[in-house]
Amino acid sequence: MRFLKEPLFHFILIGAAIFGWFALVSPNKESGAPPEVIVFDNNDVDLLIARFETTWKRPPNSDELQALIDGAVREEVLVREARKLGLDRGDQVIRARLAQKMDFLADAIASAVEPEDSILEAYIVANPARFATPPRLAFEQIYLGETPEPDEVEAAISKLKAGEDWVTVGVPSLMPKAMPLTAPKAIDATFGPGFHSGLEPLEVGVWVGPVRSGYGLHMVRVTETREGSLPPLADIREAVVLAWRRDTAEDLSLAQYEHLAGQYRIEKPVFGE
Amino acid sequence: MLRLIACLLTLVLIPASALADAVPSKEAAEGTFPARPFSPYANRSFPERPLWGDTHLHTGLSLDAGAFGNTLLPDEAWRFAKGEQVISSTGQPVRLARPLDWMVLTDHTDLMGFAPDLQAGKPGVISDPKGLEWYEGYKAGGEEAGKAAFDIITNFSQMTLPEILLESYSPGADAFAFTWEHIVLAAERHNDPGNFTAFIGFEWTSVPKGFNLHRNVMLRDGPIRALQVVPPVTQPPYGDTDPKALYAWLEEYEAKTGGRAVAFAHNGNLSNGWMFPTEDTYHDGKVDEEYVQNRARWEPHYEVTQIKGDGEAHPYLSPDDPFADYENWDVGNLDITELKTEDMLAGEYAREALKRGLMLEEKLGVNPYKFGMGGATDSHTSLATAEEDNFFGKSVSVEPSATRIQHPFIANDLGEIPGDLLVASGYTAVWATENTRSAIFDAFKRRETYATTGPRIGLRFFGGWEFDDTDLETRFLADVGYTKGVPMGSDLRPREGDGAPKFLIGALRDPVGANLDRVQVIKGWLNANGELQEKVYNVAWSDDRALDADGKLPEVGNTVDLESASWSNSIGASELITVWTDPEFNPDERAFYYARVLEIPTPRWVLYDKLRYNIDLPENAVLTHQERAYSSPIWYTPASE
Repeated sequence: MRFLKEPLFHFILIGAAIFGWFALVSPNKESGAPPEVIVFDNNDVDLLIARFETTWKRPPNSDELQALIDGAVREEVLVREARKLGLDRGDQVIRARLAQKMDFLADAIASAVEPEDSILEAYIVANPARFATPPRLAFEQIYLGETPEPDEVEAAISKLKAGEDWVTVGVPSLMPKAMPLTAPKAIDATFGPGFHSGLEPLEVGVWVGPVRSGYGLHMVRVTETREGSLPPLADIREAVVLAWRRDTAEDLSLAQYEHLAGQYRIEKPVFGE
Repeated sequence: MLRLIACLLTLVLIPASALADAVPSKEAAEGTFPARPFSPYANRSFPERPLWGDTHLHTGLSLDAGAFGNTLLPDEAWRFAKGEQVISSTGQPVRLARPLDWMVLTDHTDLMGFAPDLQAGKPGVISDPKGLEWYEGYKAGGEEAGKAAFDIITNFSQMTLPEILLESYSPGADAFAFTWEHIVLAAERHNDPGNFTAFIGFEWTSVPKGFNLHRNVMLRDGPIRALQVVPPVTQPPYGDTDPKALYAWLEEYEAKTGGRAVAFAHNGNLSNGWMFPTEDTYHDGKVDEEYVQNRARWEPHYEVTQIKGDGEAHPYLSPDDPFADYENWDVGNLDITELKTEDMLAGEYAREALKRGLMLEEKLGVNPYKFGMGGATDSHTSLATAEEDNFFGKSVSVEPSATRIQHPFIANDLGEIPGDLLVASGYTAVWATENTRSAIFDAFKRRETYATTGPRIGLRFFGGWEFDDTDLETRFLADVGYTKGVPMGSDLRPREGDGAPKFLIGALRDPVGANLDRVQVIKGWLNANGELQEKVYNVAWSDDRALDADGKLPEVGNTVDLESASWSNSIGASELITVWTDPEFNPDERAFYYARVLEIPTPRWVLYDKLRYNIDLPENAVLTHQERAYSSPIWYTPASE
């Protein structure tokens, strides 16, 4: 989690800035002394129109607009009066909505944190399987049977040594006789677990065997190999950032919560022990 | 711009005679196409190995899955399918023995995305009194949570969900669109052409009066097309349970986006006869030309085996088939609000549907039930498990535990499906040339797929007129199959001469699985009297067994040790290959043929539960079974038409 520290610091910094800004730009608008007037300006009207349009796919006519404005004014009056009466307190829906808005804010900030390359590189190293291209191996195989006699194996080997067409050697079978460059998991899924690791050390271009699969014994010839690799960060940056954000979002929002909670002295009963 | 248009016009206006001049003579063309190369692997364009996948899986985004406590979302489902270890919703580490090659994620579209918001107590949910009640039930956990979940499902199927909730999680609502975007983008993140294919899809959950008419939909396309639409639902006024509405959506999707989509049904066994109609549809429609054309166009595939029962055949319909009695669920409809009667069965099972298709083709000119076969899990745990020793159940409530077998899938006054009847099935194998959305999707369209109940049995099935026993000695069975015949899912080539159709069939056991007992060919046909017929032929088998006069084969035996849940491949065969000729062919009769491969007996999942948890099983629990593969059919149509 060490790689978290730096972004976490950014995160809290950005968070503090944003929350501070909110505190600055909305002084007393939501609370405090009741204002004498309710002003509904053009911006508010535009907002009402936009909302109407998303639902009805057309602008409101003048009657509808008047009704919208009247409704909004009514809502504003009632909300203010409800606040004065303290009706917002203890309402589970309102509280949950407020808490959710804070979560949204934290999420938005988390997804704005731009991790540095060193962090992403460390993340790739910590999760190689998710980003590495697997090694690949191509081979040909001759099936010798489930439990061939030693002389049958010998016969196959000497035919190969004598240069006979390999396709005619061994026992016919439905297994693929040649696999193109294929990842280890797919090789094992086709021939049984462990088959790939038996092929891995083999020299390219040489018939070797017998090698055991889930079906029996084989002669195999590796025809091509390609090493697996971790692509350079630049090639997969987008995918890594997405994965990193998903993995760290939870840690970040927990850290954010702890940061906020740290500003309170919290007294609560302790159960258990 | 004008000049460009002028150019285009000139191009279009080239007279046809000029084109005719451009056709080269046969002599000139010779040599343009090189002869067949020496290397048998050069220019190969047919598939070497089947690609394994699941066409049907739910995550916590599905209403029922999430309500029953599934907290895993698409990301975890994809990672699991690719072979990564994940922690299940009940906190258990789980991993597939072998990764899948591809998957279609099919969350229910109705109230898609509601469940995670319920779990989180989002204001949009708890501002509704019913939503608040469910949330509190969910939070309480245990029996309360189960009750809440059941209440949600009941309200869904009775179409009595609170209006405000329905509106907030249906097409038109932001939450619905965002959930779709979540599904689409997750698939895109995990789609890795060449290694793993992640299909964008959904389940259209039509279940009027508890009659299962569900369809899954898979798209060939990526987000650019998928995000131009939102998927259709079934709850009015936002959707309709009539499949016609789904067909209209599919039509519009293709027209609007230029994309491609297919739909496929499942669990006819829970439709009480409405899945494969011949006269009337459930929705007061007729099985007319429009119906058969739509069904044939949009549904080239059928999910024949899955957790809620195997739907290939039923002993009532196929009394001469001793293997038809396999994992059938035949108590009632999906919620057992109506019991099953024998007359319903013919409208429910795949083999019967294939037969009915012949009859409808004779009558209406189009075969509506000309589908390929597939298997799927339909798990609601985000975990695509179909192996007996690694079975994570239907829903989170029946993930592995000492007591899961005691939970009935459903129980009410009319009947019960006990928990031990869940089926650890199945997967779909696809003969596709590469592991990409387009290649796999196209294989579905040409029906080059087969179903298994979980094991990765290899199956080749080719039909033609010229196969003979020398083809059995070939080292390249697929070369011969594709060259001299057609693969599973196709129509036989036009008949030449006066022979009967011949089939080249090869079956290979799962590399880590049980040996094979036998290969069978199932033939269905419409005789001269307009009667639908069927016959099961044993065509290849293991060990030294001989057919009796009726064509019956002695049983292969059973090596399962009930004390250790193990078996031995000392019986059965690793591979079975044969060329089979239809001995009772009548060129005037429409027919289809498909292959069924049976493994030797192995333990059912309940036996692993018994041993791992040291529990007692219900007395009548089935402990061993013969898992199987079903090929897509090959059809024969008389030439006279």
